Amino acid sequence: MKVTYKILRFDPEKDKKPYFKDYDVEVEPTDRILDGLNIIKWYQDSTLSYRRSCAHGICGSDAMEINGVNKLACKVLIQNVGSHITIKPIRGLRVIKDLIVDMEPFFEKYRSIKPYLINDDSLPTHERLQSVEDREIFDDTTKCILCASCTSSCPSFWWNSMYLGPSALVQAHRFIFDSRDHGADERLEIVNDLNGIWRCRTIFNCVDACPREIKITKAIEELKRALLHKHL
Amino acid sequence: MHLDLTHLGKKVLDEKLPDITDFVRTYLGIDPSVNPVPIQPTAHYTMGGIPTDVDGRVIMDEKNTPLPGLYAAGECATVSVHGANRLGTNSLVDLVVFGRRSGKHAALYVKNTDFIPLPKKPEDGIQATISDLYSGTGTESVAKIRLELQNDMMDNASVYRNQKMLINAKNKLLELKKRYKNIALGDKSKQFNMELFEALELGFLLELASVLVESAVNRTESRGAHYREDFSKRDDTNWLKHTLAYKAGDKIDFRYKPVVITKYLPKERKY
Amino acid sequence: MWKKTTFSVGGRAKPAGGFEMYSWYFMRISGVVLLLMALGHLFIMHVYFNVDEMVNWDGVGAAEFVKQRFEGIGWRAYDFILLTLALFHGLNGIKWLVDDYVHSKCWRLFLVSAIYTLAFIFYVVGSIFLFSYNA
Repeated sequence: MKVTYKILRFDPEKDKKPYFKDYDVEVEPTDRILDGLNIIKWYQDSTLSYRRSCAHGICGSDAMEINGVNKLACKVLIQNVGSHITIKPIRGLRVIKDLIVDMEPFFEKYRSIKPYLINDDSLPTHERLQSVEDREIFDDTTKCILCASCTSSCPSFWWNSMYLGPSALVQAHRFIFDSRDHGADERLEIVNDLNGIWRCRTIFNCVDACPREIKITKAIEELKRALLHKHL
Repeated sequence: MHLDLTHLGKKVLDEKLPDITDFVRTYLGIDPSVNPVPIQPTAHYTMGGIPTDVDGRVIMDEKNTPLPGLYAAGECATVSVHGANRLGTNSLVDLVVFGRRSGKHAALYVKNTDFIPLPKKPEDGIQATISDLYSGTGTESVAKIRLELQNDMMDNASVYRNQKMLINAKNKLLELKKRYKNIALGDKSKQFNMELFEALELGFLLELASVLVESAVNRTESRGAHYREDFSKRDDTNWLKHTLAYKAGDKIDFRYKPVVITKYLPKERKY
Repeated sequence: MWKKTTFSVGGRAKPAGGFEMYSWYFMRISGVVLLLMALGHLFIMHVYFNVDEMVNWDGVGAAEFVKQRFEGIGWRAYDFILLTLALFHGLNGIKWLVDDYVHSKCWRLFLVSAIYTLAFIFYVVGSIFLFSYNA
């Protein structure tokens, strides 16, 4: 089938402002949005730039705004979008070129919540075991692939880029509720900030955007509750 | 060909195989707990190639001489824990065991080593390569050569291969390498030039493909993921050894490192 | 370019004690109280005793009603709490708007000061009326 990709282009070396460019592409209905982008890049216009790697929704490289909603280009089929496909870079992060944005502020926030095991106990002789029930508590938030779909769909983040954003909070949840980790207090105080968890307005855009279907707002509410329990 | 997973039930599939289940639902629109799943071969894993010791140090020769300061772990590396094949959860060992060991050893190395003097203008080589690519005015495109490379390697140098196929692949590679010198970039920009990136990558792919094909021609036996239709038996007398490839101008030199058997004897895979 | 950042407005160090958390919690709890009290107010003033109808007679009835109501401390306290909470919640809403949209330090200072001043004036005027009202 023939579809039209309308893509927001921007080359920092040539353009003052971003502009839309149309491409007609011959694709199968079961192709991914990414397949169409590849056809454009490889056979029509090699200047089109976008990130992609695994093409299976695991690496989280190709988050973009597809017909107004943040999605991974590799996880959306053409047949589910239709023949007019408008693509823009994700919002709230500086556009470097075409669909490529500067992810550094996003990863800086990710690093700020200390996304690694904190446990100063002497090294165990075997694995730190965890019960099925204890694993279950944070199972949902382990699914995050750091694609930034959620954070860049969050109006609170658009308004104020100082906000940690849903993704960093999801990652904080993943460690705070892990029974093997001892850094919960430290991390709870990091997110206990005007620009941390309290800037979440339960708008739910993040939940709609998440390609891994993580219940992000629920995780954030659990963090709020954990903070209240800690202090009250 | 179909894979029937319906006996596992929705709960087991969602809990134990969430990613695969999600792939099937997303890309095929099939619920694997209700219907069988059509299957086909795919490149699932890269069986490394960079020889390392158990600390992730890259080794240079048959005598296991490490190249100081260079480490490799994961899919790129060959530690040879599981022989010549990629068995289930090999990659977990790569990550959890050898990733950790490499990291620890690298940290120790850094502590005990000072900076060594750099050669004069170490960037010259890669800069020349890049400016050649920028100034190329030929008629070939990166995407077309890569597609031909992919198809040829799939057809002639896949798991099942024989002399005739491999020679075809070798010849095709010669042709593609020649054509690669004639590529032109459509994107001349300096920032985030993904086409330049793909062009560089294609050059490396062509070289690696040559290593793969030529060492497969040499190895007249079947072992692990290398199955020669014309030499279908494993030959421990002649081939119980690792292939080491060295770049020598446009050619590749092959040397061999013996396999040291300690506890486990090589055995035929029976599953 | 990695640099360590504490995510606080205007580069200030994070306030100890987590004011935001208490503020958030207070707003949730008092929100429920405010809702119930506002509904109570609505019911008493417009359903059970219909002040609108009293006013329609000649205005005297309504004044009489208010006078009766304010004879004890109970209704004055009720109205005072209602006023306090309504102000707090209105104020909080506007403060969040400023937090979200206004990033310049000067404007923030100006707007937040304006909000607090305005709120203080309303609060004082309302309180004076409530506690000095003598019919």
